[in-house]
Amino acid sequence: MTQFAITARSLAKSVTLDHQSLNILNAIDLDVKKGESLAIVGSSGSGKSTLLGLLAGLDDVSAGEITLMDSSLSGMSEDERAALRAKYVGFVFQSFQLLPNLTATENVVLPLEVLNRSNPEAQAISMLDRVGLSHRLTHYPRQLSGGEQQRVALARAFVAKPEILFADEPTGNLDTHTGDNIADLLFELNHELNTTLILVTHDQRLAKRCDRIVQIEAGTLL
Amino acid sequence: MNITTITRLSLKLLMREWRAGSLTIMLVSLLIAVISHSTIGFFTERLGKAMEAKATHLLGGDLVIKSPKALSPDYFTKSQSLDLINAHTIEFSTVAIAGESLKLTSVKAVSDNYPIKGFLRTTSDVEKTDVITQEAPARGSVWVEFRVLSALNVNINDTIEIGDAQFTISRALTFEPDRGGAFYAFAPRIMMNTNDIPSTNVIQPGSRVDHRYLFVGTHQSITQYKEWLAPKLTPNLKVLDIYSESPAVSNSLRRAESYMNLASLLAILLASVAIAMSARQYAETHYDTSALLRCMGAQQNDVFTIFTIQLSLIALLAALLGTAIGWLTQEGVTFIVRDLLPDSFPPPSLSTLWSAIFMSFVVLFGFSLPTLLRLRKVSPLRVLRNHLEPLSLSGRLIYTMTFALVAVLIYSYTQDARLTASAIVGGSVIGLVGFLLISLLFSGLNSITPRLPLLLKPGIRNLVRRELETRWQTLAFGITLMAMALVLMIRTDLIEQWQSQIPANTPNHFVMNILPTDTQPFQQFLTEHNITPSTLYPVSRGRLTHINGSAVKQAVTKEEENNEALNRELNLTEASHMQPENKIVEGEWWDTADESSSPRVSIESRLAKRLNINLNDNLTFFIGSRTLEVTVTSIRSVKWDSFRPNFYIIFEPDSLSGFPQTLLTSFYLPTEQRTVLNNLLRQFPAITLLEVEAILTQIKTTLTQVTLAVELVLSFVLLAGFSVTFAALRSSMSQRLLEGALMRTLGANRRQIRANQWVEYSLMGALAGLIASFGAESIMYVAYTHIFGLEYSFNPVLTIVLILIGAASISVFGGLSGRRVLKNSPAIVLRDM
Ligand SMILES: Nc1ncnc2c1ncn2[C@@H]1O[C@H](COP(=O)(O)OP(=O)(O)OP(=O)(O)O)[C@@H](O)[C@H]1O
Ligand SMILES: [Mg+2]
Repeated sequence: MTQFAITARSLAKSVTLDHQSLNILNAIDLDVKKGESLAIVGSSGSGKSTLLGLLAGLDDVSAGEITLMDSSLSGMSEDERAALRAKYVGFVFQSFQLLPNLTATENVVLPLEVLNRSNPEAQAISMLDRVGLSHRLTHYPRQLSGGEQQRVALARAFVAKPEILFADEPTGNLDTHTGDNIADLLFELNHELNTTLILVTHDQRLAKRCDRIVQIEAGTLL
Repeated sequence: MNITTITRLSLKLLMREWRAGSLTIMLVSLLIAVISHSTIGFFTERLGKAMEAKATHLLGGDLVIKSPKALSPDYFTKSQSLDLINAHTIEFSTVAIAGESLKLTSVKAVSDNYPIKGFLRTTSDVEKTDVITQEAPARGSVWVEFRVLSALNVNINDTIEIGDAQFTISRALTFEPDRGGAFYAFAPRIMMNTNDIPSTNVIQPGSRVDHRYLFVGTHQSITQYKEWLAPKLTPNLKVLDIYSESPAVSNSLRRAESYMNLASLLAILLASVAIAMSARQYAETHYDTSALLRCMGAQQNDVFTIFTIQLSLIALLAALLGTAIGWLTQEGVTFIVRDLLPDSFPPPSLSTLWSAIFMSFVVLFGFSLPTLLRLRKVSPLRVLRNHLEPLSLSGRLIYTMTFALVAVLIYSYTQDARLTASAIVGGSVIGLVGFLLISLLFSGLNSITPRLPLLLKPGIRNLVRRELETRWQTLAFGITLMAMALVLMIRTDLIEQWQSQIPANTPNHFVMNILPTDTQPFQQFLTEHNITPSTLYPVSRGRLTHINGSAVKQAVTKEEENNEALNRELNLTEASHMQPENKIVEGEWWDTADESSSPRVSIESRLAKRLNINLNDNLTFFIGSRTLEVTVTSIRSVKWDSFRPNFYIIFEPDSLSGFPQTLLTSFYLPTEQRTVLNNLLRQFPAITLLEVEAILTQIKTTLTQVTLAVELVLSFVLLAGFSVTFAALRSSMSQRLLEGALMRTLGANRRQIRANQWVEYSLMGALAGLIASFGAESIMYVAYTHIFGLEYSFNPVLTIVLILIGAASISVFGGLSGRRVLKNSPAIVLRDM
């Protein structure tokens, strides 16, 4: 076992648009230690989300190598990567991505159900309690404010106690004050559960709360 | 994920989905399809069984052997070994005597266990209504028809003589199920017990008698018996079963059944469109779910299985619920018309349930699989890049699948490959042409928009801007409207046709053997009693003896040798005009006199075909004691089920004047006036009177049932049509909601938005109506000119009506489902998105 949660070597991603190849990421090398928190910053369109997706195994790389919790993603099928995600990974998104037809509790229960954990409701409820939403358990996302929705999303991300948490602009849709509260909660939970955190943001204040910052511009790490 | 986890998860998600109401349209559409399928299935099955039962009643058994001689015992050893029940009837003509009066009657002697299928109706009091009777006359007593009573001037409980024996008339016979045959060619009926035959001494060796052996048993043993009989059959021995006799109404029934099947098919296809649309919407709203589950570590197949399980449950639920509702509906219909139905209306079987489950799965999966497969392909990356749409399956694959599925559905309903092929080709052509037409109209609209009043502009722009989606929607609405219009029009035609077949005053009495000298007083009698007779036809009784000079028995094939038309005297008439419902199929009717050749005749087409008689053939008739040679100058088709006097052979006027003639007519007499008949028979003792009220009632009953079933299936088609409309409008609603909210944030007021909506929807509906009328007219044109051989005329009223209905229904539907755009504040709408 290595000390790294993630390693990436000469990572590249390109897409073909109108018969033209468009390079989004070039020659990226990156190591993330277990328990470390890393911020990826960069201007809009620089390739942050693309990188995050690759590291989390959501997408195929065009070139290069990624190792996630000591398993090499190269040559893995989507389904094999899914199995790996199930075991180690959690997500928080800028647009929350709560399912509109499920209540807060049901949204949080979902990953536990996918993992077939026992007693999912109780765990979900205690997690919602932890993020301060014990009075909103049966509310639907549209009945919650943005900040509350992101709390539910945090509860959902942490409830399965993942080794690595990927967060893409977790405060991007929130005002400064609410964003700070969410960030506080995110880091608290991160410490409590000793999760490896990879966080994409263009908010310098948020980035500074991480152990380490890398900057990406036009698809290349500076 | 293991399968229990997947199942549990999919159940939970389904429940949550259900609560949120996102499955309603899909379930309702599927329910409509299943209910339509199962109601029609149950009802036609029961109706079919009831008709079959009625047919066996008309026959007197499941299988009947007709023979001029008594059968040898081995026939019965065999039938007993197969557990067949057997009854025996003997028919013969003889004279019945009461005091001074004599009457030639047709006697039917029946065994003690007669009737074994169906029932008789009799009454012990002429004034009272008849009752169902399920026994044979006891020894020493007879049951007679009313006309025997009047002809012999006797009453119930009086005594009559038949041969050497005396009998008490214990009942009057009003209905006999297995009377059969050409109903107005019989002498009045007397029914007695077979055990009394010896004492009458009327049957001597060589007497003409007609034995009928009636058998009842399971389908299997009847079939076995038939196989055993086959090699023993001689030309004298005839086996009848329900499949060889076809009752008068069978044509109408067959037409009704194919109508119901086609309409039900249409309902299912329409519902399928709704299902496909709602499945697409379901899939689209679940791309996020799919992506999220994948992020959480679910595999492609897990996601696919989750949605498959959900759909299976929906299909199963719809099948069970739909069959239950279908069963109830059918039960309800049966209950409403219980007085009209046969006394033993057989219960439906489970087969409809199985086919409903099958259909439910096929339709739901068939029409949602393309979108379901797309759901499987959603990339988990969608969580990061929100509008990442999954790759769609290749268009060709989807179309091939859909076409195959539709073909399978149509074929399973029609069992007719040619019809299936032409329906598919026709449907595609209409769809394609409709789509082109819509595109043309849209670009036309686009170019005239600048010149339109300001009020209309935004609505039209909305419509035209949404281009492809709106075109498809308009086409879908158009085809839906077309289907509804067609089903409605065909139904109206069918029902009109049935009603015209038996109008309110259809003759329920036939009178034969009116002596020419009695014609005047007879007509006067009718006028005095307010009875309007149909034409009085002169009738001469004669046999066809030669065709083109060769004796008929040699001229026809072996199997036609027993043809009733050859062995029986035919009713021959002469007429200057053809009866209204006859139609010339070959040759010409005589419009002018022609002295030069031998007298001309017109022959009924089916008889002509069976006896191989062609135009210009010479026929020789033996009438009275003389022969008459005639030439066939026309061949006619005859509607035998019209309940008017009809004739196989009609002679040109005056050609029969030298031969013995009587007259024949028919009239309608209300039941309350029945006592008039007694006077009629007393005043004209020579006439033969025949009541066909019972048969008429039977047919009317059947047609009422069938009409009801037709109405029922029509309502399913309409329901299915509405569900399509609703599903289609719903599927574009979220986009419209969003646009409406945005417009309001930009300052548009409710009135403006509402006006725009009305313009947009009513325009769309009007276009759909135009397409519908185009499609309906094309189909009617093909059907009229190529199938029914009728003159087609374009009906502008239909076009206008369809355009108006289209505009009205779509704008009302759209307005209703779009109310949310206006009711909620834009903030709420935008937030809900
Ligand atoms: N599948 C794709 N097809 C086409 N272009 C893509 C695709 N994925 C990414 N891109 C392009 O690559 C670039 C980087 O995208 P990405 O979403 O990673 O940027 P980002 O750094 O996350 O920006 P933001 O801060 O605005 O979220 C963008 O220009 C984007 O348009
Ligand atoms: Mg991004």
